[in-house]
Amino acid sequence: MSELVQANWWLFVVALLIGIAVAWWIFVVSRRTKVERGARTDVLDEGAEPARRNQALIDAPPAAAEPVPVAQPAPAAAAADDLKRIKGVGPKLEKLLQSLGVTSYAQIAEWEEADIDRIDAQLGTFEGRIRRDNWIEQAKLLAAGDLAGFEGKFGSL
Amino acid sequence: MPIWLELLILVLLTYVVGIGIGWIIWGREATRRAARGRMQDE
Repeated sequence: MSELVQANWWLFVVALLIGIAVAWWIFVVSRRTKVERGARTDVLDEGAEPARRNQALIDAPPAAAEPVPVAQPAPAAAAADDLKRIKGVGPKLEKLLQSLGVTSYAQIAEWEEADIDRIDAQLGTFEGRIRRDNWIEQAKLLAAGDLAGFEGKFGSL
Repeated sequence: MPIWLELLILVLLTYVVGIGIGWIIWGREATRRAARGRMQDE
């Protein structure tokens, strides 16, 4: 056995080096993050809209500093609604909205784009849900009591 | 056992040892990082 190894030591060295090279390729080269550059556009090509949106977010009052209601609640709708009936709103999000002073469908139904941006910025991990789940339209139907219309469009309550 | 088979087995074992050395050098940290990333995702 030892004669065999001694006579072919170079073969073992080559095998060891190939093994190390394969491991290097597996653990280093193939795990590198690949950056796709072709499809990316320059940030300057996006115009002033992103900057305007960011400025609106910067100018928006911080959640902790000013926990006032965003929209004026209609007197009739001042009583708290079950916000969980809005598709996409669960118990956690309902609590968060209540802490922001949003308790009724009428309030949500009255939101403008700026209100959406302001509230959205305070939703943390739920950011983007308002537009994605179309809360405004859901809230309009619920505030109007149009349950049939709601269920026709968004599914059963 | 023919001598060429003995040689082949030894060479393959050496190759595996090489991969093991490579894993110790580069793979251990990457495997740990990937596991940590998976845990954060959950």
